[in-house]
Amino acid sequence: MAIVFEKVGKTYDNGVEALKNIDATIEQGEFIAIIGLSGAGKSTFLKCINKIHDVTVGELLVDGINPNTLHGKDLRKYKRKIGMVFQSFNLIGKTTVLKNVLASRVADMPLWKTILGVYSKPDKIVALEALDKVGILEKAYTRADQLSGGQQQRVALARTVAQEPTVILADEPVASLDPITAKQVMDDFKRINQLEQITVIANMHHVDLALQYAVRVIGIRDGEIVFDGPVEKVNDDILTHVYGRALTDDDFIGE
Amino acid sequence: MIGFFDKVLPRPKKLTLENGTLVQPPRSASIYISIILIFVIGWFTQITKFDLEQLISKFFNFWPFIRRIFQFYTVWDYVGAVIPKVMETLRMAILGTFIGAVISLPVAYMISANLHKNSRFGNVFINIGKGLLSLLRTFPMLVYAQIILLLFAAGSGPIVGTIAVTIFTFSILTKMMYEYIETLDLGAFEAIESTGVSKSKAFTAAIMPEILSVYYSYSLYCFDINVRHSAILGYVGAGGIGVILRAKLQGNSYEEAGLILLALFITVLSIEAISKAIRRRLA
Repeated sequence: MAIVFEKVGKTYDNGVEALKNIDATIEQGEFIAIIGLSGAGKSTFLKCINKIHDVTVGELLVDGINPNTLHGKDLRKYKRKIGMVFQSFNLIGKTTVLKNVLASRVADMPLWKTILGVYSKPDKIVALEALDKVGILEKAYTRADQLSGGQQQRVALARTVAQEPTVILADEPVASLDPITAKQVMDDFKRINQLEQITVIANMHHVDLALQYAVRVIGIRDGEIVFDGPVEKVNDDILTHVYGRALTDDDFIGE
Repeated sequence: MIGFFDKVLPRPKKLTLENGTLVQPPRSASIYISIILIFVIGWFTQITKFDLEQLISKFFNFWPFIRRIFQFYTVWDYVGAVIPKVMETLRMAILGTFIGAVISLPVAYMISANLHKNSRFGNVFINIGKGLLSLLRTFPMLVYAQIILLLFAAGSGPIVGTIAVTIFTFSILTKMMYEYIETLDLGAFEAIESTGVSKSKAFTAAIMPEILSVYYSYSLYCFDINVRHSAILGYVGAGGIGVILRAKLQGNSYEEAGLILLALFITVLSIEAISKAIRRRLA
């Protein structure tokens, strides 16, 4: 599933121009880190892809379809192909890890089954395999709110994997984790990207993590792409250009 | 109102500090409010013909009645007639609470404002729904029982009682649930919605597990209230233990009435204890 941005711009209702003149083509299976200052437009970039926000100028084509034209059932079908991982994990705290993962599979189920919480055996197996892929299979029957932050983010990743998407969008997936856990979670992203050929597009707050895990880096400054290329080509000059200032300790996760 | 006070009433005296600074304490309205309250209360006691002397004399007339109530053990055989009525009351309360609780959850989902933020039509619908719900809550259960009684044939008391309990449970539980849902963090709900499912499915998958224990707990609390209320429903003929209680009190059979009250006391207390124990485990 190729994602193509053609002269895309996004202006919010309050007049803020979050994105302008974005041109980019993302092929299936890429691992992309998006870097830039907070407020530069990284989140908006991601949220346009799964139509949380509508593009206002230009055209965004995902698999040849402009998501702006989709409504109702077609839109829901479109969203099923796009997984989303959030900074705040967004798990259901009062239920088991397995139920959390299974929640991403309700799209194919009749409503009454969702209400009663009866999931089919194939669904359970998909969910358990997703948990195995992120290495926390043994927590399947633990309550989600009893897990640590890193474990919760892995459950969230497993939930997204169980959705069987072709693209995973991750909005600052490890920004609220400590350095060691952050790397473990990024390892999981990497593994899933390579194993399943799922495209991963991640907004990254920490430059060193971005450079360590991504294959391609997109730098956004004031709503515009100011760098787009393979990770090997990123150097200090480019980073200074993207950030509009010299980098500080805050921009690195360290260790 | 404050402006009126400022013009009419004198300000409190200024305080002078040692260095000569003047401090003006703010005016307090409490003294004037107290005076007004005394007048209002005096006026109402006149309206209600509240009379201390009469209260005391009537209180001593009350004694023989109390004594007879407590002599329920002299009519112990009557218990055989009381038990089936207690069961009828409980059945009305259980069935009514159950039906009311089942209907309340989907309605609470439909009128929780935070779940339907970006639909303009939804907002109008929600406000109408909430308005109708408060209308439903303004009437006590007894009024519903009396109205519904008109629609049914004589002798269908328990059905009427059950419907009254259902309406009451629905009206109060729906409000409690939507207010609880509106305080929830919707992260999980939005995450599941982003997987391409409808709102109702995202609700059942992401919100229901979060609210279920509170929902059960509130339902049990409603059941508590309902058991007590269904005892009185019999007074208008809507089934349950109230039917015989009224008959015995009016028929000057205070001993039997005492036995009925004892049965009611034990029932309410044990239901309360059981529901409290369950609710503690749910929390």
